[in-house]
Amino acid sequence: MGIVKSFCSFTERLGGAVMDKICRIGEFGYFIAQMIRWLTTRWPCKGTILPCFYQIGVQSLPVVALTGTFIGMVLAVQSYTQLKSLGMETRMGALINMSLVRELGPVLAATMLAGRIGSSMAAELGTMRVTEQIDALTCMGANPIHYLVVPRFLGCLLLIPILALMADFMGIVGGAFYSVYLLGIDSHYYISNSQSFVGLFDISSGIFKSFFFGGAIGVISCYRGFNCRAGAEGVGRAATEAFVNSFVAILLLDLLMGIFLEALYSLIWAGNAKLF
Amino acid sequence: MTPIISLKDVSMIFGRQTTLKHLSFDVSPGQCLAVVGESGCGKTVLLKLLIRLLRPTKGSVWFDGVDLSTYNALEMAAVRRRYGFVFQMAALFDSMNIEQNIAFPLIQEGKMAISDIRAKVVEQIRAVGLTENVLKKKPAELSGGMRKRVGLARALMLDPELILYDEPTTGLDPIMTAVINELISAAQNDRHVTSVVVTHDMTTVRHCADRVIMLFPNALLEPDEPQKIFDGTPKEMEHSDDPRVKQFIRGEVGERLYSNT
Repeated sequence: MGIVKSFCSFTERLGGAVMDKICRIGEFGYFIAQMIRWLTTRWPCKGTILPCFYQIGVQSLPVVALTGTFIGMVLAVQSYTQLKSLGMETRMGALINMSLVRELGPVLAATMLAGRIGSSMAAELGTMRVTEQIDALTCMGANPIHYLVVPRFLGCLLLIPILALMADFMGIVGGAFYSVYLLGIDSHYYISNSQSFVGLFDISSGIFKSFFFGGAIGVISCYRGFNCRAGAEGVGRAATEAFVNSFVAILLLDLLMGIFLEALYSLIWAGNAKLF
Repeated sequence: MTPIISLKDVSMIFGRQTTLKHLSFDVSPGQCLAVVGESGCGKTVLLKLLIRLLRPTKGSVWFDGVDLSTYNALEMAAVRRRYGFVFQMAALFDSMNIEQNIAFPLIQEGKMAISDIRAKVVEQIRAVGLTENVLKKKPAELSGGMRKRVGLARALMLDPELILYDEPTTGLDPIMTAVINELISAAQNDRHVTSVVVTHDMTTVRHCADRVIMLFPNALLEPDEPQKIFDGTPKEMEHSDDPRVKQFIRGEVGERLYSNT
């Protein structure tokens, strides 16, 4: 009898947890659908978009530039010994720039921005939720998704690719500076090798991925803030979850986009090795 | 006369907890209704149901003769502009200054010129007993009482037909409580609005309300007992024979100190 009772209890709890997850997925889907509906029907006014763009774009520039510069320099440090032993240190530019524009620049810039912008947006919206500011917006006939979420999502979607481009540029400059001025590699060969290896497809594939990273950071962070639980703990948790979920989404999207772009590359330039 | 607000057999259930149970009442235009009761009896939930920030699990809420559940989101946004809502902690937007906060409902509506909106902001800030000096300040720079007055000024901007007050005097000193009570009465008398005031404060009830409803926590009721344990004038409430009403008015501990609610 006891075993049957505990089995029933376990089944009930398991069923409850599964239903809860399904409900959350549904809520998230509904949130995205509402956001897309507002995006396609009425854009927010300049007064609500510009402060968000300033916060997301302009205020993130120093941290993204710093991240990019140091990634470039660290890549130079790490690859120098290996390539020198093969006598290929003049090819360092190709390695550093290719790694930066295709992978490290967009991914690390997005990760940095998930921490800086994503957590901040989730905390801000979460605080607005727990202090009833979102309810106040609704009571005054404004739609909180239109007023709060759409400008932030647009900011992330449009500005994170530009910031990733900035990280790429600063990484290239940082890598070149370290290689040429501190490691003494000939600048002519460094630059000519860089130019011959990195193409437009490599740069644009990194930027293409950044659009998805930006969109994911925007929508996940706003959703977490919007559905924040009560109290200071709820706000803290929303900020943490916004970063963790955005980070996981960035990694997952990076893998999927990587597979897709490789397949596209193989399709365009037939004869190259295929992944699947 | 059609009641401006009508609750028809409303129940509100969160998970396994029933907060409101089979609640029905009407509010006539121009009336000031106070809703009192212990913490946790569902007063704020009731207020949120009246403006459809929450939807009832059962029953319906009617505003001006129309069931609120029949409106779509855009229609409901338009209906909400006929309401004013004064939140417990004022709910002013932190990122805006006081002028922007008060002007927000009219800017959002988009029907009035900016110069007219500015003039109306000044008029409203004076009406709640503040000066123009506060207009450029941020909400964090104001005291609790000032924030509540700004919240009231913001709620009055669209000349609402119905104002909902969520514990307007909680956390204020007796003088500021009297100021807020006076402002509620002034809004009631000068603008002829209907008011629903959720409060714990019997001073506010005596000063502002011409009708009181008292709710009792559902967890303490017998299954077939109604949740609305009193409905009458403040004077009738003072002379009520119900021990639960008497206990609330006198603020007696009774047997509640060691109970779980």
